[in-house]
Order: sequence, then C-alpha cells, then structure tokens
Amino acid sequence: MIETDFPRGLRHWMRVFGGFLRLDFIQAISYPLSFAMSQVAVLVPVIIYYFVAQLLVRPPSTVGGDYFTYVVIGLAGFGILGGGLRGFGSRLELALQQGQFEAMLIEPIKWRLLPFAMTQWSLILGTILGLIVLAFGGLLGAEYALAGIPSAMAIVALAMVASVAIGALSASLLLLAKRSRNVLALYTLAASILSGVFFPVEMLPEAVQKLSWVIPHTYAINALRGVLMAEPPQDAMSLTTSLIALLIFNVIVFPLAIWLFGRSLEEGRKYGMLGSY
Amino acid sequence: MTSSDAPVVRVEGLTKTYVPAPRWMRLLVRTPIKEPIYALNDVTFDLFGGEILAVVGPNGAGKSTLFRLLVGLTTPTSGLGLVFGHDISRSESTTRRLIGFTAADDRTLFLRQTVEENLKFHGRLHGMPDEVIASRITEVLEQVGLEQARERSGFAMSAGMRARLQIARGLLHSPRLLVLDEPTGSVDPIAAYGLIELIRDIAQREGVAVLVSSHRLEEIESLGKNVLLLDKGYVRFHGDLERLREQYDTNLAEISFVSSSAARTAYAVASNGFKEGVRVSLKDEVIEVGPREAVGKVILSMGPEARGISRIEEPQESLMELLARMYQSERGEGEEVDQA
Repeated sequence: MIETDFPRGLRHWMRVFGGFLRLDFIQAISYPLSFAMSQVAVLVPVIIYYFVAQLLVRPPSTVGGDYFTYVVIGLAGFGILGGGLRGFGSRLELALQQGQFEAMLIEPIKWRLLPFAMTQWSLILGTILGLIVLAFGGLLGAEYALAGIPSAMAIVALAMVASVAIGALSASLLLLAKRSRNVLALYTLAASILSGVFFPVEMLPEAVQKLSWVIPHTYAINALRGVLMAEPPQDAMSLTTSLIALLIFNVIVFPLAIWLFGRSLEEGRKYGMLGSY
Repeated sequence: MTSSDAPVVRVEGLTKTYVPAPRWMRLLVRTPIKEPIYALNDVTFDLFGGEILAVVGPNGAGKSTLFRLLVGLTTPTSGLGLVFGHDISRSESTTRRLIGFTAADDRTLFLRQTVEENLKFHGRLHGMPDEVIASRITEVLEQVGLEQARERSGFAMSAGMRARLQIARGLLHSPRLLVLDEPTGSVDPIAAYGLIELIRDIAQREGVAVLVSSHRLEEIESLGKNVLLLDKGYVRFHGDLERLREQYDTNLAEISFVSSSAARTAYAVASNGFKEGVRVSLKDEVIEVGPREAVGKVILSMGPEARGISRIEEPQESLMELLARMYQSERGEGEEVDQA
C-alpha cells in the first residue's frame, strides 16, 4: 500500500484544503460570464446608495458623518459574512445535485471538516468582494479612517468564523431538507434589515431591534463602522463590546453548528438519504 | 487484522431496513419511503485478500445497499460488518483509506476537471505526497488505458473512459479492497471485457480483495467462481458458480432425432417403457430424459427406432437462464408459503 503522511499534520490539511479550493476555483471560472457578472453585481448597490446619499446632506447622528461611507462599510461587512452563509449551502447543494457529495464522503477525511473545506472559496471570494466594495466606495467618495485597518482585520477574522458557523448551520438544514436556498434568502434579507446595513437598527421597532442582537452581522458591521469611519455613528456599540459579542457568538454557535452538521450527516446516513437531493 | 488468513471483509447477519423518516424530518423534505423497505436481510459472508466476490441480483436486490454499507454511506440496522477489522457503522476515515470505491454513477467524478486533476484531488485527500501522486497517476492511467487522456476533462470523455477513470481513482491509493458497483454498466462489451480483465489482474497480482456487482452475467462468469446472489435483500446463494450449477442442474439429457416423426415414434415406444423414476418428454425433434443417467436405458427401450437419433447431449444452461429459473422458482415457493 502507498505510504501516506498519516498521522496528519498541518501540511496535509493545507493540501486537502488546497484541493477543495482548486476544485471550486475551476468550477467558478468554468462559467466566465456568470462569474464576472455575479462579481460586478455587488457593485450595483454601491452606485445606488451613492445617489441616495446625495439626498442626505445632513445625516442623523446614528449614521455618523457620512451616510454613503456608512452604507459602503455595511455592504462590505455583509458581503464578507455572506461568503460563508451562502457559500457552503450553495456549494453543498451543487455537490448533491451533481452527485459528487457522496464521493467526498468516502474520502478519508473527517466529515466535520467539510464545512471549512467547502466554504473557503466563497469565504475568500466574499472577503475580496468586501474589499472591492470598500475600494469602489472610496473611489466614489467614501472616506475611511486608515488607522482602523488593523482592528478591521481582527473584526473580519472573527466575522469569517461566524460566517462559517452560519454556513454550517444552513448546511445542516440542507443535508436533510435538500433545499435551503429560500430559507437562506429569507435569512439574508432579514439579516440585511436587522443588522443595519442600510439604516440604523435604532429605526426599527423596539421589539424587532432585539432580534438584531442574535445575529453576528450586527456586531461585525457595527464594529467595522466604529473603526473605519472617520466620524462613526454616535451611540454606536463600542469596539470592545462588538468584538466580545462576536467572540461569544463564535464560541457558542461555531461548535454547535459543527456538531449539528455532524448530526445531520449521521441522520442522513441512517435514513440512506445522503446522496439524494 | 492484517494477517493473510484474516478476512478483508467480514459480514455477519448484516441487515438494512430503510424506515420512513420521522415526522419532523418530513416537514423538511418528502421522502418516497412510506413503509419500511427491507433492503438487506441477514447477509453473511467473508472475503479474503486476492478474492473476487461477484454480487449478482435483479434491481432492488440489495447490491448497492451492501456496497454503501461497506463504504460507510449508510448504517446497518443490525448485524456486523467489518472491513479490515473496523466496524463499518463507525465509518472511520482509516477504513476509507483502505477501500477503493467506484459508484455506479459516473457523476461522482468532477467532470469539469481533467483526468489528472480528478486523480490529484483524490490523492491529496488520501494524504499522498505529490511525487507519489504523480507516479501513481502514470501507473493507474496505464493500467486502465487512459494514459493518452491525462489532460482531457471529464465532459470530453466517453462513458467507457469515465468508467475507467473511476476505476483509476479507486486504484490510485493502492487500496486493499476494491468495491466496484457496476463498473461496466455504461461500457460497450469490448471495453467491459478489458475492465473485467483488469479487475481480475489486480486481484491476482496485487492480492486485492474485490467486491463487484454487474448485470452482465457473462462478466460474472469470467470474473471467477465466487458469487453472492441476492434477491429482495436475501442471499439466495453464496459460493462457487459450479456448485450453483450442480445445485440447480436440470439433470436432463437431450436426444435429437433426424425428424420430428422419428422423434414421435421413438417417444411413443420409450414413454411406455418408463413410468416411474424417469421423466421422458417430447419437444419437436428432441426427447428430453431426466435423470440424465437414464438416457442409455431409454435409448435401449426404443429398439430399432433409435436409428433415427442424430445427437445426444447434456443441455448447458447459460448463467442467465439458470438465474432466471432460480429466481422464478424461489419466488414461486415464496408465494406458496405465503398462501399457506
């Protein structure tokens, strides 16, 4: 038998993850027009809100100094979190429909690693798109506090973990429900409202505002605005509070999501429905 | 369990019943299973290194369920399944390292990727170093005859080539057990013959245990002696093909005549002489005699009418005919039992 480098070290896992990344990259660029259009599409809201911001010469204090910068940072943060949220679900759905998911399951890797391996492409892409949104916004006049970049990187790292956790939660549902696109679309829509991407959470009815506390988007976007806006919103949550909230979310939800994903796989195995879609 | 006398696969009373999903799960997705489906019932066998076990049976016999259980894609309801001593219900990644699996469906390949990329991805997941992957890719592509298609993408390949690529992928990490679910299902007969030769060669030369299913019974015959016949999840037969032939032998001799009138005349004489213990029947120009040993007595009883005999032979049933008869008789018996 071929000698392998088991027991596995970091190098092995990097190669495994590299394999999945390459797989998804080839899949994405196999459809160049669709790929290009989906990336360009993320810039459209930036353009729309550039004009909307022109209407708000004097934005309310809950928005900070500049409404356009406020929305651009919101869109970028939402895009980064969306990478994991949509990425794993759609990748898994594709693998199920193309019949490749079972082929992955019979490979000698821990099943619980799949949420990471299958999300990394969309996570990286989501982060790059978030940066492109920020850069494009900058070109259109958004102003950032460059001193906040190191803190922003820490926030993005925490947001990415939260994103994988939400992705794993959605995949747990997808494994059993076989369709999660509509649920995800609903969640994404709700999260865009509740997390204050376009307007302050304070504008929502008080009861609804409480819902925003349970989604990581609120804390990530709030923290990003806090460190990247030259004139951050008044009454905004402090950076420390946002980071602690994200950390708590990750500590609780991340292991729960991975456990749930494992349970869904076991249930799917038991009922013989892992490969069906 | 790595000694040569330990079985590579040990299956004892393996049973799989697909039960309807619980109510809460049916809120998520509607499943077609309304009643329990007894996919596999009390299946027992051992498979040793270098052996080929051909799993045969009609659609719904339980072949794919057996394979899916062994590679850990589903869990047994009861019974024991060991692969290299590892319990299949735990689906350890170490077990999966030792198995090469090809699914019946070639969609498990990454069709957007080239042959080489498909194999590289698989090799990486098996923890093979890059230089080993490169040399093994060359070896397995030569083995399956795809060395010229290294840079071709899955979409640009024929069904036969994809089947070969699946086998190449299954072989890449040099597994000790090959589980091949209808590997020749979409392959033309000539290519299928090549694949069967390849499978036999791997088992003999490398001592790999092979579990293979196929609908092509001539392939089963050429793969070797050891067969497991499944029907509705039950083992109908397990063992040597020759023993199966003996067990279900018709024990008939056929006496052919030069004409149907000669056969009729000889039959009239012979059937009068043998009332008990010997069965004589007429079919056109042929008289069937059972048991076979009685053919001499029957011919002697024909007297001068035996001059019309043109040929005497033992009819050889094809495996397909034999299995069809076997399954029909088993089902017939089953129905009688049900009625009783």
